[in-house]
Amino acid sequence: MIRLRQVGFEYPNRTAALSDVNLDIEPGRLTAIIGPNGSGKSTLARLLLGLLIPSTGTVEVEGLDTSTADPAVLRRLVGLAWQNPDNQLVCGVVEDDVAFGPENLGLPAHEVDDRVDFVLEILNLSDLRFRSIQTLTLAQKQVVAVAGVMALRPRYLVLDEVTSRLDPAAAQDLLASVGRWARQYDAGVVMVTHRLTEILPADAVCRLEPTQAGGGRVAAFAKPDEVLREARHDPDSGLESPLFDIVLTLEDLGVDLPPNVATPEEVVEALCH
Amino acid sequence: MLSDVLPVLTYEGAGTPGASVDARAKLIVAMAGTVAVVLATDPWQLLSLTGLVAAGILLSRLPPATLWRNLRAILIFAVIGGAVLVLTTGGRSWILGPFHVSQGGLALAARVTVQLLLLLLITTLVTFTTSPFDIAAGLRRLLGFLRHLRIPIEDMTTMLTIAITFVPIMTQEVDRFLTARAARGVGMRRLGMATVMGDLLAPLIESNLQRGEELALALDTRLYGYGPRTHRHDRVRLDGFSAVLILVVLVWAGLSLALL
Amino acid sequence: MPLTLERIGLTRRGRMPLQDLNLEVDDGSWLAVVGANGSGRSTLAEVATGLRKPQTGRVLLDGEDIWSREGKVLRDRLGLVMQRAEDQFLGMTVYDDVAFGPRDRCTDEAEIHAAVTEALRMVGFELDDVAGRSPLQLSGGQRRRVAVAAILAIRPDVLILDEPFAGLDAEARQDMARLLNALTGSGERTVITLTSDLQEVQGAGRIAVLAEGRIVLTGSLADMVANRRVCREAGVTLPDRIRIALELRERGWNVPVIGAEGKLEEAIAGEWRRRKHA
Repeated sequence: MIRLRQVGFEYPNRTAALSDVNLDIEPGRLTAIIGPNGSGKSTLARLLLGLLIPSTGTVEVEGLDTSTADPAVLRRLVGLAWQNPDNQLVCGVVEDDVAFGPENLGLPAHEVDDRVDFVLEILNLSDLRFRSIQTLTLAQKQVVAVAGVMALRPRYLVLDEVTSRLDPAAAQDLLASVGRWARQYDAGVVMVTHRLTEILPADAVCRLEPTQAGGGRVAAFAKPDEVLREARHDPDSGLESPLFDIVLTLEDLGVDLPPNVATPEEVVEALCH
Repeated sequence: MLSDVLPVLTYEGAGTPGASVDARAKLIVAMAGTVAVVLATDPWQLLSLTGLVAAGILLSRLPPATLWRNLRAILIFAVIGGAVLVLTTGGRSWILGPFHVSQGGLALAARVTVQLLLLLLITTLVTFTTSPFDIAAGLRRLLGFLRHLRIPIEDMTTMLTIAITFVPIMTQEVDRFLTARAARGVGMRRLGMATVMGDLLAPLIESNLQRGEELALALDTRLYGYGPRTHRHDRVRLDGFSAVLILVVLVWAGLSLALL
Repeated sequence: MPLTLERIGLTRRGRMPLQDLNLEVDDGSWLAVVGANGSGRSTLAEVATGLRKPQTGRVLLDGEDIWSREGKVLRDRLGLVMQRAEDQFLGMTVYDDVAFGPRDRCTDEAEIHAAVTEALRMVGFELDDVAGRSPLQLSGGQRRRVAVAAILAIRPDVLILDEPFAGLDAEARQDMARLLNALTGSGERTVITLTSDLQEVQGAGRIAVLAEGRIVLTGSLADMVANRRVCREAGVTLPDRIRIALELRERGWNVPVIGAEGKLEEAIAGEWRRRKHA
């Protein structure tokens, strides 16, 4: 469990990023984090592995306080991948980059190979194994970046907007693969996103909103349907779906639709029943 | 635009015979060749070494276009340097108008030019047949023993590898900068120093610094530096062919130097 | 001015080549070119604005070849707002950035000032509000509008925008849509937008589908719907509202596939109520 209690964070230049955040991230579950720009999502992501230490309150990862725990232990427990894969990939060839993490752990060579094999397999990257990273598309690089973190077998995997610049199909594939991996290892996945389709399968959604004072606070922490019920009426929720307009207009016209319709097909199905 | 014209550090020779030779062997061979060229003073020695390099060029199928492109870069320096040598060296000389064309100078210029060209050809052979990442990896393995002398060879080559990743990204940035200017109707002709300094360097440096910071974060989250690293097996092993290659080159270079 | 691309061919290392690409854009109209990632969009943008010379074929502005000996004058009339243009600011302040182009063409500061003011106004900014600020202080959507202003300042007859909506939040997207409508409404310039999404073409007079370096379909949104198989093969998906409408029609609902804003929802609501009470 990752526990956040009354967590507040202020940057050195005194800008508040988060205030009074209380949150539980459970292993084996998918937690989504949504919110508009400036609500502190990325700050929250970094607090989860102790890259940032809270200015107030505590962050505990499996009972370890991030402000006092050994960073190596924390990094092993919580992995982080973010947007912009060009700034996360350090090697020339896909295989080398994915192996980078396990190599840093000092694992025996054959174990490193096994981990690399497994991760490449589960993310459908096996064909790209020996490719030069410079030749990959943005979407492929993003998957490699996530692969590199998965190869460390963290207990918790934090993905900060990794699907933002991917097209919906590629995003779906990546998240499906991550889901398979997480289920296999009972790992917890935390996903910062703004797409409706990505929060629906979550076990819990944390919605952040900016405050007057500047720091983001938790506006809601509940199941996707509940969060969605409010969020879709709020244009500043940080949640996007091309369907919101249609669905909301239909509701205004008196049509009963369940709040969690995410694709055109689902809208049609809902209408026809 | 720029990325079409500037194949910096691109590894064009993928698929050629040279590419499948282990990077370490190529580095050793290049080093041996370089030392031999620098030590050679006699025309016969240089001729023999030229033969060695020519054999290398033929076997690795280095395209003439690439050859010329790389030569072109230093040609102007070779010409100027040669001219200086010719005109300033003392000793017996012919008078040609206001210039003293020294015989000794001519010989010296010829020798230095050939040495320079040979060195360039050797370097071209290496960069043509080996990706920059493999060169860095080869260096790491060859110089690995320095670890015991407390020299952080591992970190240095990791830094080198990461630095290499900056190159295509920077090329793209410069490309986009030039396109952005062109899109506003400003041609290439006005790319003066002031523009380069102010408009190009500042954003380029800024984006590189930001990238550097994020890369440092990536290294940290993936536990770089938190303990001893594993060394996996080399993808390309130092095989019989490499051994033969090293042997042949060492012998040929050695014999060349012995010629006098 | 009408722009014509005739049998354009261009191969670039590592990019999708353009092959036998033909495109005609009427004077004062808005053409939306839609193509999946990797279909050759950016290359097309560069060729159409004279930044890159095609290896085969011609680019004609008002009937004249822009690569002819006198072509420079014609090429100066074309403007391109690059993808993520806001990443390429060429000045420390908004004013300097927008003035960059005009400064190259003319030396009269008064004229430059007028051009900058007008350009900023066209994208919705008052000069004094933004002139002295650094572009980095503005939001993503605002920065992109400044980038558009920077091109408008050189008063192009043909304006091409490469992915004008990419990466913008909902509000900024609406601003951009309004801006595009304003720019094209007057008919005084020809506008071409390049996107990967048909959702972003509302307002365009004509649509062209780009696939594998050539134009495979042109027409109205209705034509796109009629040829949806071609669109699908090109990797271009129809907008959600249209997909919903098509699917409902298939189930016998009487709803318009293409129509004015709101009409579809009203029709759906009507049909739904009817069936509910049936």
